[in-house]
Amino acid sequence: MATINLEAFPIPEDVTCPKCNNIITLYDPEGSEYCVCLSCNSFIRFKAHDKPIIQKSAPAINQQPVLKLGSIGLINGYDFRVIGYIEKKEEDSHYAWREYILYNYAKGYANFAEYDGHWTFVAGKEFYPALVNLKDRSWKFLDYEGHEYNLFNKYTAVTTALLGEFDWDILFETAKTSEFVSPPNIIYKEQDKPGTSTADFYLGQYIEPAEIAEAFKTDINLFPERIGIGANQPSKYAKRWFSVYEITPLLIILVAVLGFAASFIKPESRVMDSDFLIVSDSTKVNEFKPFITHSFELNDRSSAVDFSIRSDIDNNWLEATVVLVNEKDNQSWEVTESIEYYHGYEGGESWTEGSREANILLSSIPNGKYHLNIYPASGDINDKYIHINVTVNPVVWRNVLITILLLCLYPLFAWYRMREYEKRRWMNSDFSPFYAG
Amino acid sequence: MFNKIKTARLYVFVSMVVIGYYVYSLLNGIALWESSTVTRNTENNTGRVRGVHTFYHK
Repeated sequence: MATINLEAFPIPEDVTCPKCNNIITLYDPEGSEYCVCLSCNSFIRFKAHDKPIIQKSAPAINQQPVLKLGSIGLINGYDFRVIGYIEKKEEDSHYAWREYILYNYAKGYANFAEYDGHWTFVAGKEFYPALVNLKDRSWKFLDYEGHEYNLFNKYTAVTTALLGEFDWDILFETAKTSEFVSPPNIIYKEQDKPGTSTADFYLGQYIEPAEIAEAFKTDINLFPERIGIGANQPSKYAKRWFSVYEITPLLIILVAVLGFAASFIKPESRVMDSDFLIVSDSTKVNEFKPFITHSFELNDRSSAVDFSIRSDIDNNWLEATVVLVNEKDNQSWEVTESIEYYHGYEGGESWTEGSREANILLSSIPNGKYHLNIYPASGDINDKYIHINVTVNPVVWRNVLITILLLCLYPLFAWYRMREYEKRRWMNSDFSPFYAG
Repeated sequence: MFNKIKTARLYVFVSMVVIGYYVYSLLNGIALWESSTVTRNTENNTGRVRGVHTFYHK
């Protein structure tokens, strides 16, 4: 067991390797039980005041550790001393990573795990007491402090090389490990450790190499290059997405409120709601005599004007060219709209087609006194009525929809980028929610 | 929420511009998107095929 509840790091002690007589410095002489000789790579077991025993020869390391044994740094408010370095791999694959054993005099052990240049600070229940109450929700999920962690990887870790001192026989350890991620955090669930029947949980937090380099006064250029996306690497795209995910609904509410307020400031009003008898023009085919409506005023500086034309046509069509004329300067706006309405009974079923009503909206009409010139035409040459509604300041729903659509464009893009990033993250997992099988 | 806004400050700025023009369109009766049934200025509309009738306007 690591020596804990101290107020400072214990004084290092030197022991002599029983094989090569090399001096080995122990930074936790009371707590450590195993160490590796830097000279002959002997894996030595010792207990305080007992004669050291060589267990076996430890395999040589493949990579030089970037943090020196014995160096001290402040991480997450705790002083840590690097006392061990381990190279590990998955038992049945080539995936390999490195761990730096960190010792704190008050709490005990933590470690840095480094894989493809991605660093994670990992600690157990001594640093994160809530881990004691952690239970599996299912084999694929964990809940920890209100966050859902998804299973990312399962493997059996084996030690391939090591340096430094340890309080357990790490060389023969084969822990079955499950990794659950919720970036920037990761939870390691370790089972079947020798001497234990229950699972142990460890919480990892993604940490930038620069932070480690600064804390341990190490050259950042020595750190391995970052490759790919780490299992628990925080996503800037996710950060953006979750920001706009919360802001966008508020903006949409703002659009609705402003629209509502505008309907009070510029209320909708009907300036014409009249029937007009149209009389056929016998000199022209399908045409009726044009007519002028009564005048109406538009008082606002600029307004939208909605025209509704309705006629009781039956199995026929009607077309009307409507010219909105400003009586002061004769400026005019001309639109032509058709209505068609057909119905019948065929094959035992009734059918209808078209409508007896059409709408046209003219936008940005300046204030003034106006009337309409109407030029009707119809397939039915009998005299008939057409009904014309003119509404000023109608609710222009397409403005609301277009504004909301514009506000949603970037959130959709942010969601897409976030999802693509997560897809690439989960490509390294056998349990990806993005790829079945 | 402040941090969220800070993260998405460019989006918030552009959104404010969009909403600003939306309010401007509300107050001036402008349709943000025109179509066959929604139009702004038809003075030069050349689609008219009917005969020309002349009215006298004061």
